[in-house]
Amino acid sequence: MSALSNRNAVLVWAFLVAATLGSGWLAEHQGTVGHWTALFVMLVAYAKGRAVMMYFMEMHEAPFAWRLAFEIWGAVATAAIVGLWWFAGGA
Amino acid sequence: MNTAATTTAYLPDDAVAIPEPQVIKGRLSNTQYFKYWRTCAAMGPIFLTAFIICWGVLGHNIPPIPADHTADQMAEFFRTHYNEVRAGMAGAMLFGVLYLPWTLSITKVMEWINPLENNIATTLQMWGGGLTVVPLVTSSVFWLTAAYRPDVLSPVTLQMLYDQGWLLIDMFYAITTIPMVAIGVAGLTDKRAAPLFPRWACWFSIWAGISFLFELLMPFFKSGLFARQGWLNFWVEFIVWFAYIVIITYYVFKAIPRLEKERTAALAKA
Amino acid sequence: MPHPENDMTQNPPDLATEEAVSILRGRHLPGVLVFIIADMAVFCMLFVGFMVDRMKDVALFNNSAIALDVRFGVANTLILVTSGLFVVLAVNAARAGLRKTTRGWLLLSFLVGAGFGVSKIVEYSIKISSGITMQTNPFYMYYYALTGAHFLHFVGGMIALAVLWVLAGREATVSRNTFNLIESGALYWHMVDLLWLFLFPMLYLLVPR
Repeated sequence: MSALSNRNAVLVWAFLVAATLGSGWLAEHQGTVGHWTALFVMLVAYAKGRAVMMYFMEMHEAPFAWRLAFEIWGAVATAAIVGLWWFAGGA
Repeated sequence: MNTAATTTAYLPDDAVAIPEPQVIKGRLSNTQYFKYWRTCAAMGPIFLTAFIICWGVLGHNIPPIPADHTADQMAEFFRTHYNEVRAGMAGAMLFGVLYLPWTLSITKVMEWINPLENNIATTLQMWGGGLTVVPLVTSSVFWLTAAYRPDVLSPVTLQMLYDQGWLLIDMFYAITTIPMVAIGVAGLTDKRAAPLFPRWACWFSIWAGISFLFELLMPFFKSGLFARQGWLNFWVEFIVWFAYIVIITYYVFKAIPRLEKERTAALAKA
Repeated sequence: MPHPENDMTQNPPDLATEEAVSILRGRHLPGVLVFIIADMAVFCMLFVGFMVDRMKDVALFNNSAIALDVRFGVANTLILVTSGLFVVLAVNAARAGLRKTTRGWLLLSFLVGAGFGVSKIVEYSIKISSGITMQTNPFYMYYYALTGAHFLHFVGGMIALAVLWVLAGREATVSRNTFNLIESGALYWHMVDLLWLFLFPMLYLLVPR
């Protein structure tokens, strides 16, 4: 298994930190930013989760079936949360 | 990720090294040694089928009567279905004990996983699996008591008995977690090229045993996912447990013929 | 892979060499993934359960969620992703056979991770001292159940990190077997991180603030 290099790991980490701080700030200012913030925040969470699965957990190098299982999990979890949020009237 | 193992030739098995005398029992022929073993293993699926029919269908426990039903609804249930519940619980108490011989068939396989090491995991699995009979049988007694004379017992008494049955069977889960974790942990130390219990089954067994921890929340809720009828604490947890029985039985049946060969080889070496 | 039952007994029954056994143990990894994916599946069901019950009373869920302190959530996320990074670095060091470096990263990962425990306990005590418990309302039932289940996973992960640190300390170099354990423990630790990445926005951030 070819590993995630230390340098790339730090880059992924930097993305996770930036995305966390950014979406945390946005969520606290939803009133000013807009009703779609919750949707945006969940999609950022998906991107973060996918980064953890693919790079930290090295699923991008894993056998296809395992990678697929994690991709499906991320997609289903996000779709369920966003979809039911939408059905409940969104923001 | 896991390709390294498959590229090497199959390795000689540690287990084929001569196991301890109490495991290999060198004076016995293979026929004598493996006698009853498959019968015991078959008790797993028999238990499962009979338990689902008796405890589940006849006893109206699949799904359970919701905990937020009133005492009068509970009384109505027992006064209508008392004969089914009596038959169901009598059957559940009969077939519930088959969990014991099934457990023994697993123990005997586990003895061969690391036959030169101590028998802690094996013993824990035997006791834990055997003691699992206790909640299965004793919880049935409560439902049976309610069905015995529901016409004279008050609604709240009937409700209490039904609750008590469920509180016992759900909250005594930890005794079943012990053998599930023991099988998994022992199975993961198997050095065979193809382990007797595959790694995924071992991890599933450990996970399933630990997932029962959600039952800790069951006494606090009468509705919702953690209640006895909730999708998590009833449907997920019972299906997980049933699946564990099926999976482990399958690998016990796969292990027995392999062990027959291993024992033959080991005896030839001895 | 082919089934080796027959070959097994025909092979010369010598004890396997340490190296060969270690290679076999390379298959720990897919095994622990079964545990991880089963766990993640149940959490996904819990997400759905939360969102479905939220639909029944959006106002109640939103009014409760807005009382949560986002700063705890953000801090906990930063802690877990940072601890996750250190575990990646530990795995890389272990892969290179650098035992001391591996232990260093494992220790750092544990210490940073401990911050999550502290923060969570502070957050729980603030809630409980203001009389908010699992039985306050359905939102808090999920809040405590989801974060509580996650917390138990966190505790399991901390124990795993500590055990790996001890195991790596017992060897002159990082053996194949220990490496596989480190890799399995790392995967588990990333799952704890991953689940939190979803739990945090779902519980704290869906409500307009």
